[in-house]
Amino acid sequence: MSALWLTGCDNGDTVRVKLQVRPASSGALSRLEIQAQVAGRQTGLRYKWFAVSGGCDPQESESPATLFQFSENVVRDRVSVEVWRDNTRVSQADVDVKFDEQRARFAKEQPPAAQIEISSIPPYEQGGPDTRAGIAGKVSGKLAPEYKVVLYARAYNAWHLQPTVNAAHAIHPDNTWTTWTHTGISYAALLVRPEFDAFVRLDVLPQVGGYVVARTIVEGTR
Amino acid sequence: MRFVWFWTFWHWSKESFRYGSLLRSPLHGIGSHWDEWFRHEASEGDLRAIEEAGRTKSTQRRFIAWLLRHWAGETDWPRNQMVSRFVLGQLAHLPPFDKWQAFENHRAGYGVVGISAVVLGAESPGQAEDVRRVEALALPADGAPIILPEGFQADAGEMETARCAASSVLRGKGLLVFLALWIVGGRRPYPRWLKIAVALGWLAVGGLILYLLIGPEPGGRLFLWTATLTALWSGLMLVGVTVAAWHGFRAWRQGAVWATRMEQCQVRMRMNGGLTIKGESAGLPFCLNTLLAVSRVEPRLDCRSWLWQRFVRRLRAERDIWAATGVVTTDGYLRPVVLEPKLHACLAHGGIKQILTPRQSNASPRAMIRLTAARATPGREREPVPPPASASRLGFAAEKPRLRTHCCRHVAQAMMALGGLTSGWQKAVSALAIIVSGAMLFALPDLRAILVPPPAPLAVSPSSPSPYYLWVSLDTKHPERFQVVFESEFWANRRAEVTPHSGANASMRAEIFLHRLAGQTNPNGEDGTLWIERRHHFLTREYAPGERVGRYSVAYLTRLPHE
Repeated sequence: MSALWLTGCDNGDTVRVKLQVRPASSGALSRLEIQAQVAGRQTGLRYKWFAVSGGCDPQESESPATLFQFSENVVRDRVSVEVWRDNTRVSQADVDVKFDEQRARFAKEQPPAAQIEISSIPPYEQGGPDTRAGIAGKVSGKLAPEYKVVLYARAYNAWHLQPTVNAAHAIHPDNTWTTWTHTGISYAALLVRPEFDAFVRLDVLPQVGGYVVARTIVEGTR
Repeated sequence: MRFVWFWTFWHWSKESFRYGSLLRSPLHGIGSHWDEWFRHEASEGDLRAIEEAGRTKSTQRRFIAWLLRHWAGETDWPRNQMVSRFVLGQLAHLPPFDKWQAFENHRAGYGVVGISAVVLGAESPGQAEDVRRVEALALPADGAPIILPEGFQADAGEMETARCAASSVLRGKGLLVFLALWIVGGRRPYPRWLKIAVALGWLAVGGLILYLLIGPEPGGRLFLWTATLTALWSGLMLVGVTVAAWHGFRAWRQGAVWATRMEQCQVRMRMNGGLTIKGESAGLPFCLNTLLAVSRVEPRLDCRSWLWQRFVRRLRAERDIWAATGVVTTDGYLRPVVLEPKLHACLAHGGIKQILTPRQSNASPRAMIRLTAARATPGREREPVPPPASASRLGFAAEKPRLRTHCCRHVAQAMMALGGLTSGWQKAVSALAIIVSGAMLFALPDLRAILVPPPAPLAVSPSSPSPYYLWVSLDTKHPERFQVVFESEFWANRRAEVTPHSGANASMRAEIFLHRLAGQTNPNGEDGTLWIERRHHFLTREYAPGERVGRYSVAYLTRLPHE
């Protein structure tokens, strides 16, 4: 009975780690924020960070995050983490990182002369997940066919990507775009390059530059 | 060779039976065969030798001793010690043995008295003579009827019913009832210290359950307490189940041996008085005496079952103070009988201290007290004394009745009473054990989750399609064992349960509604850590959150696939 009872249960000390790479919040392109997602008992865990040619700061931490810096003239690297509890290595993981050359190039270039505007403005409301309104607009200027529109509505004192977390809206042949949104007090439309990785929730909207070609913010219709 | 004349008779009887000149087997027809041989076949020499053997009481005793010790061993049934007694009992009434003084004891019976039957004589209101001694002998069947009344007339069906009931308690449903009764409230073969230790163990288990349910927060000692509780309960269950299984198995084995023996034997039920029995109320004593007869076949009590051994030993030792009445069915159940005159008979008898009756209203202890009082002061019951007018009232404690009734629904209950197997202590311990074990069975999933926790889950898809929510989907089959804690400097902290969600995005997940903090200092909308915490329950109680077994960032969870 005890054997059956125990069947299917693993060792309680098992720790599983997965690394996630994000651009550094400072905006420096040669830096990446590496975060470890950790499943398993958290008590007493320490993290040791390693890279092939770049460097991690900190190299040893109690928090599962570090800042990776590429070496000069190196565009690819591998970052690994070892998870230790007391004097035992309980898990490890690694991730390949790549310097975003395209973004660096776009950052250096002058953004193309393009504009975006919201022609159909939804109402000014506190908003939230249970609201809904139509929104439309148009783009103009020097455009590329792969450009997309990303929408945000401000509710609960933060910008929320609209209408869903992975939404990006195509531009019609007549340079207009249309979709729906949850309502808010303000609305923002971003004209972005296809590589743009939109944050779902923001305190401050990204500035024009890099992957963002144009931006507009309007207050809801009162 | 001593007593050649008896060997001569015995071989004459066997040979005559073999050649068909005698119709009954040598054993079962020994009375009539002896009469025939003694009158017509015995030689002068044999008659002289018989006369010599019976010359004095001493020589008579020598013959009886030889018959008991040596002759039986030379027959075809050397292990059946009842054969010699039967032969002596049969011969005692025939010449020349009917004149032999040493045979005096064998004329009244076989010397194998069992439990008495209460059979009322015609029109009897219940007299001492109605308590009748019953003797049961199991002899080799040799083609004779398998149960035979002796000294009375009874319906063959009634006798057969009693035999079937005995067979049932040896290896049928009756045995299951017997074992069930014993398991629930039967005395255990424990030494005293173990008996006390087991009871204390069950009390400790009950105390631990109460402590875990309503005691202070155990914190880090939760594992210790639950491990102790589980180990203690498992140990007690192991002891209980092992003892029950072992003794149940031995009882079943012994019962099967005796049942087989009973099928191969003829049971002779002897009750003097020449009654013709009407009704079936002697079924219970006949059934119990049949069991006793079967157990007596072997020279020593060859019983390896503690249960059967205790029953038989007590029955043999206390047969003089026990009487029984009750209609028995083939599967061992008892039906009510006319009882009051029988109780009067037992009270009048004086020697009977315990009586087995079917469960019926006029067999209760209260009815017994009333009956005893009525006998002590005849007519008093009809003249109730009015209570005194003064404020103080007198009370009279009733004397413990001299005759104790044991009300039974089944022969197995009668066996429990006869064997002294019923134990109030064990009933109390069993009741406690059942309650505690019920609680433990309900709590087993909780205990398992504490002692052998489910694996730490991974955060998996789907993530929330709505920007206002954060979903934490976990790859676990035990959502109730985890909760999610969201800590952030940008968003309000949350604690959310993991619950199963069905539909298009089915998963085990916690759904967290994001609410930005007013006056926070961190501008990062993806700031926040989601911790996976274990939840520990015990029955209706949930303890303080357990250890953290997962750590995820908002950014990671937001970027998981949505489907």
